[in-house]
Amino acid sequence: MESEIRKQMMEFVHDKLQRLSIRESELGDGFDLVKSGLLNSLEFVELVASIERIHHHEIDFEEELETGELTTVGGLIRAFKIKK
Amino acid sequence: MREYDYIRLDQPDDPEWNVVGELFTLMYSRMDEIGLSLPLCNDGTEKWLKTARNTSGKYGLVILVKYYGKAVGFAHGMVKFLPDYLGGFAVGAITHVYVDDDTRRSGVGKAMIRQLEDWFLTKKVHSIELQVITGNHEAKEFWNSLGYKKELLQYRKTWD
Repeated sequence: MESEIRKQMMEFVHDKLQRLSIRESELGDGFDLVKSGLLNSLEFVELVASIERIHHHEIDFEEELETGELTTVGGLIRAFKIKK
Repeated sequence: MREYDYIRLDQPDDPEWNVVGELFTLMYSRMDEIGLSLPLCNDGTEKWLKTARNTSGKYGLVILVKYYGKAVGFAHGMVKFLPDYLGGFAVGAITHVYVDDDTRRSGVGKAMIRQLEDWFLTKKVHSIELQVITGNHEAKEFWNSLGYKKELLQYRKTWD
């Protein structure tokens, strides 16, 4: 599950990473996809929606957002792992 | 009396998405004319459609309007969130509203926005925001009439 979500995340940001010359390996668990400027908040919502659709599992977006970690690579993975 | 059909697209596999794509392209042709300096890219419509479809339902909604089977307008709203230094609230974003020339001033635009607003209420958003092209005076009147207040001006410098 974790590796699938990570892979999906990387596919989603792949083009942007290339344009910004960022390697996937630089996106550790603490990397914030939004605060870094890699995704805007609409794009981040789209990423969450696409993961939800593929895994047929919805997260409580508001609740997860309050943790302050949802927009990090590790936080997003945890949101799906914990509620599964 | 004219009868309009308001169709809520909240499922990604709805066949009506293609019609919305056509209106989206038309909308950008018009925005070019009134001063948008960022043209729609070659596959821009397909890219936007992908986003709108993928987020439809829980995070986004499109209202499509038809008049006797002909698509005459659409509006799209999405839930986004503010940065944490501004409170991190969920806010509604009205990303696109288009009504064709023959249908303007018929109340269709307002009706679509009211539907989006009702949907945003269910999402418990803090507020609703949107952008308007500076040269689109008709749109400014429209949003004022619906109670929206001007908040920001966006500036852009290009190198040509």
